[in-house]
Amino acid sequence: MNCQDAQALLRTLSCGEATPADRAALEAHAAGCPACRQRWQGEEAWLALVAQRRPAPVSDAALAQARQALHRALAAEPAPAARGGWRWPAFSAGAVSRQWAPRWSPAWAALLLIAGFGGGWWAHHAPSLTAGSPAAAAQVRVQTVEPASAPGQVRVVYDLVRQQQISGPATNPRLRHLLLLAASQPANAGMQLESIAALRPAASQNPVRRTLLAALTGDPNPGVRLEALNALRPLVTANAGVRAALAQVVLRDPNPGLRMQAVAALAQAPRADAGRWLRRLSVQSSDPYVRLNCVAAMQQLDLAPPAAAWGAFTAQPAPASGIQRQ
Amino acid sequence: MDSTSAQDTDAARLRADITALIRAAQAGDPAAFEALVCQFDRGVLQLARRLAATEQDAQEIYQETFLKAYRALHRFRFECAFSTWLYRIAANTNLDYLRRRAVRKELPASASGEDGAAPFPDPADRAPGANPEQLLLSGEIAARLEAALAGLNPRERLVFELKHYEGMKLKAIGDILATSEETAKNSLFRATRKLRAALADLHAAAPALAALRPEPGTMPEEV
Ligand SMILES: [Zn+2]
Repeated sequence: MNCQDAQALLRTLSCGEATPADRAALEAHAAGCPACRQRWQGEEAWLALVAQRRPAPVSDAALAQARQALHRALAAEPAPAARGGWRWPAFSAGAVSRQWAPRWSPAWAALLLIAGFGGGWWAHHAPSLTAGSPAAAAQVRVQTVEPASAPGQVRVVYDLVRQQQISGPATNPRLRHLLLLAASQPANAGMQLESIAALRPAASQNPVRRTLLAALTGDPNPGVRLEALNALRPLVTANAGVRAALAQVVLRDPNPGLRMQAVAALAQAPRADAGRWLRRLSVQSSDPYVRLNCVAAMQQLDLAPPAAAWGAFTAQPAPASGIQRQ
Repeated sequence: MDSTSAQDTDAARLRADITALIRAAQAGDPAAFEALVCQFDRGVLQLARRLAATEQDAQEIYQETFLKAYRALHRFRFECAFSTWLYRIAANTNLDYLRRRAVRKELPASASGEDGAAPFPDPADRAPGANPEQLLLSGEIAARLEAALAGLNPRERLVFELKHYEGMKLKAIGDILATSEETAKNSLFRATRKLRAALADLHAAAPALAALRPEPGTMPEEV
């Protein structure tokens, strides 16, 4: 290889597209050519300089904010051209209105819940508030949630036009509604935890379960996600949506403790379902401890782990990423 | 290796899921569109944050990208990967933003004053385990680099970001910009030339930088 070839390779290198073979060829040439060796060092110094710029990664909070704003903007959009099947229901953030019939396509549930649309999701699927006019309902803000004096009862203080409070069991529809509202407000994690704890007995009801699933897969606070996971645990045997959401937690939750809890919860599913999910996760997860845990759980259930799971302990699958790289 | 075929299966499953979501969204299912958004939006926001001057601008670019995608979704014909289609929209939205800013920068009144929103925190503040001296060094370099990047024309800027900070191949960048790999490469070289000229003093005066990367002879096989 001559110096001209070497410089072509250096250009490829500065594009970040040099192969190991390119590097080996460069190395062979640079060993006997001080001029090219110096040029190479110059390229490497340049790339090092470029690498000094590392913008902070996108936080979950920033993403949630963007999604909520997008949801509001979409609500104001006319139905797409030539479609006209539906319209985005209008809503304002954090508000509740009676006009939205819950609309839910189970097939997309798991995917949608992976990241959760936060307040947007909540408003979109919120059941109607029974009392008051829609205009008044739009002003509801939950202030506090705390256990009431009677066992199994909870007290919620909220603002409508003026401050009010209501106590009773979480199965009371109006109370339940306020608890759901409070459980979906990431601004106040303490209140979220109280609300989720209070909602536990009602976890099998559709709107409660949806809110818990949204918290499990989308809440920025790991404590809230764990509380939601525990509230959903009893549903693992009966509900496929809960199992799918748990699997998403195993694959995507940034908190390793939660990932393990989700594996343990999935292992409590009926044997065939547990086997299916654990088998998949033991190969798909990018976290070796998760893969190990899945295999251990399968062995406890007398299920054979897939051969690929063992290989996967050494080979690291690529983490799921938003951008598809070619 | 077995894990490779498992990954292939996963990729195939993901593609099938995405296709089903697109069809459902085109048929008017709002949950499907939101699910699609969730699949790709972190990358879209990340790119916008790298190019935008403020967090608020980044959020606006994000929103505009997905609104455009929503309005144009019925025209998506599966002729390319959905991610390529979406990133094409994101790229154009970012380019529009950079062009608007370039125009604004020429007006003396707005040359220095930003929109009141805080710029991104200095990334060096967050570099874990860096010693203070190095922190100072990288903070200063990052600021200089940021200023030099702002001096590029929008297209060069975008190509440089996609290449060096999104880690995309030139071929993919060409696809996104609806141009050839060769054209993308030329944009990258022009950007690199300008940046190196703008940072020549830093580049020459910081042999320490070279030490941040291993010597050529001991180079690990990854870039
Ligand atoms: Zn040479």
